[in-house]
Amino acid sequence: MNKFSATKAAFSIFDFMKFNRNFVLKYIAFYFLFIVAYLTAMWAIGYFDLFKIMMESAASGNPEAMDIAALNQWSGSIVPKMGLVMILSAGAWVMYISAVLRKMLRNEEIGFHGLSWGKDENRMALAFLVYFGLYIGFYLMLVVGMLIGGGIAWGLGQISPILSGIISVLIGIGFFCALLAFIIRLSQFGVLTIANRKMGTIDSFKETRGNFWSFFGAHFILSFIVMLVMFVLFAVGVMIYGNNLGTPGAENSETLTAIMPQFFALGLIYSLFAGFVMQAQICIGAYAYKVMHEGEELPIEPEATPHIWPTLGE
Amino acid sequence: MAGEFKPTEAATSVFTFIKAYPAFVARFVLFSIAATLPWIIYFVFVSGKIIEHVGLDGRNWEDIEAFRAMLSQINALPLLIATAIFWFALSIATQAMAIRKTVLNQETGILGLAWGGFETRLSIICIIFSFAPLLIFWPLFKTFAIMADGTARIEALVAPLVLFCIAFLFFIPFFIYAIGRWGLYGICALQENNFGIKAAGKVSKGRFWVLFGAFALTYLIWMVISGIFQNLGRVLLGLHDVVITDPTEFAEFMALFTPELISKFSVYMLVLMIIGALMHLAYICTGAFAYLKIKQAEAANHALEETK
Repeated sequence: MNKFSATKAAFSIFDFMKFNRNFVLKYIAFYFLFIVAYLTAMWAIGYFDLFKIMMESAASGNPEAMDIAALNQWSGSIVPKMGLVMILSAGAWVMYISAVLRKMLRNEEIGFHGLSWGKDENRMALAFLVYFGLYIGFYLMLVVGMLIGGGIAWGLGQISPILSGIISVLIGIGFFCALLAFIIRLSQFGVLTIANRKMGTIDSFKETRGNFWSFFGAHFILSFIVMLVMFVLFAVGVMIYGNNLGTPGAENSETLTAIMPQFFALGLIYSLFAGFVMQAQICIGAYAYKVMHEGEELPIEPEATPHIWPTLGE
Repeated sequence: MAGEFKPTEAATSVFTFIKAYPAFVARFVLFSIAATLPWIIYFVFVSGKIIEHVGLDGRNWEDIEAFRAMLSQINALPLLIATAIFWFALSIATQAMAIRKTVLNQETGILGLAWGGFETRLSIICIIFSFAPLLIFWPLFKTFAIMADGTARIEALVAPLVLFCIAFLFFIPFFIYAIGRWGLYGICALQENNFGIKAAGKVSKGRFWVLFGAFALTYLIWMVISGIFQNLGRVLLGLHDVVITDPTEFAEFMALFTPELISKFSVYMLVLMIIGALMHLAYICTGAFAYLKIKQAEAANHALEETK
């Protein structure tokens, strides 16, 4: 497998855009619509009522004493609805990421402007599930490791507080590094799922072996640039809407309702940019795969073999 | 050994099974629900009596003798034993019925339900697997309870945390090992005409992670399906908007359970029980699919060696 340049991968979206400008713009619009639909759904189910409860409790002069009954009523009503919104969003996200990867890797656009639900999406959904399961398992392992490390650090603290402090810091850094390494090693699962026409969560470990720093570098460069741009956008937002936030009585729920549309407008501007960033992130993986497997034919859809049960015992 | 079966195919094989044998699946679900129903009746009946006797604020809790007399009057213990035996026997028979169908495509006994050597072996293995963790954890739990001793000492605070860590460090790896190594015990018990533990260990040799992956993926898929139906059920039936007040009298408490709420809740529970039964079937299908594919590959290899 060939090596790839982290910098080129981080900026590969611009190369892709040269030949597929309409596709990128279309998928920025889709992402924007996705965010609008998501926020509308959350608004419709009453998710943002939480802020009202918080503001009203702050205005009551006793911010610690949140209206527990109102909170219980809110959470009881919101949880199942939010669960459904989350599941639908996950489905939409699977469709979105599959469509973008199909275009980037195979130059295919099937279904509604590339969006569809077929074998690729089924595999992607399963790949996400496995990713989620592995992530939870790994995270729990780290937490237990941290608890044990914390216990050791506490014990050492009886002998030397400095040593205990150093070990605590090292444990924190170790936790962060291990989680980061895990995420980077699994980052190619979506790409492999679409490229190889089979679920690629476990294969991602093999794919990223020996290329860890290139993947890390590419994601780091992109994240750094995105962070800078977000700061600028945030600063512009504060310049435009900041006065409203500073006015006395902003804690009151009427003021909150009044400035909410402005927050939404700002959020939607962010989401347009986020649509581009999402594609840029996906493009890192697609670019890396293309360079690493240059000259190789992409596998075709495997033929379906007869299933075991309809013929069993016949 | 590689490529004998894909964990994704095994984990989703239940859907093909449902399509191939819908009548059997309906019967399986029905028997599974029938096995659980006595528990619901038992808990509604007995817990209702307990709440009535003790009071919602627990004011009559002190009078242990009266409480015991009440339990004996409603035959709580014999009812509990009878319910547990009925549930266990029907669950085992239903599980055996599904294993027989998925592995051999056979149905024996009344509507597939039977009790023979296989069912007896299956019950013994299930009892062992259910009680093995208790045998390990009970002494540990007792030790920490003695250490904590009902005081506010540091041990009282640390004990649950230590217990959790020990559980995590010993029980979860054991659980993972048991699934990967002996996950096919029921199928092997049927095929080998013994307890199947040794045979399951032999079949899973070199296939540990693939088998574990298949079972873990089955769990994840059914967690999502179950989540969808739970949330959908609560929203569609309006259970999420039920306001639970804080009753102090038993009559007031009972008044919360209106016929409308009870009927809605029953529908909701029924849907959850169906999902639970299908989830159980999914695990059996995952194991059976993996086993059959492994045996197919072994037979093909054997035939190839013979031709050589």
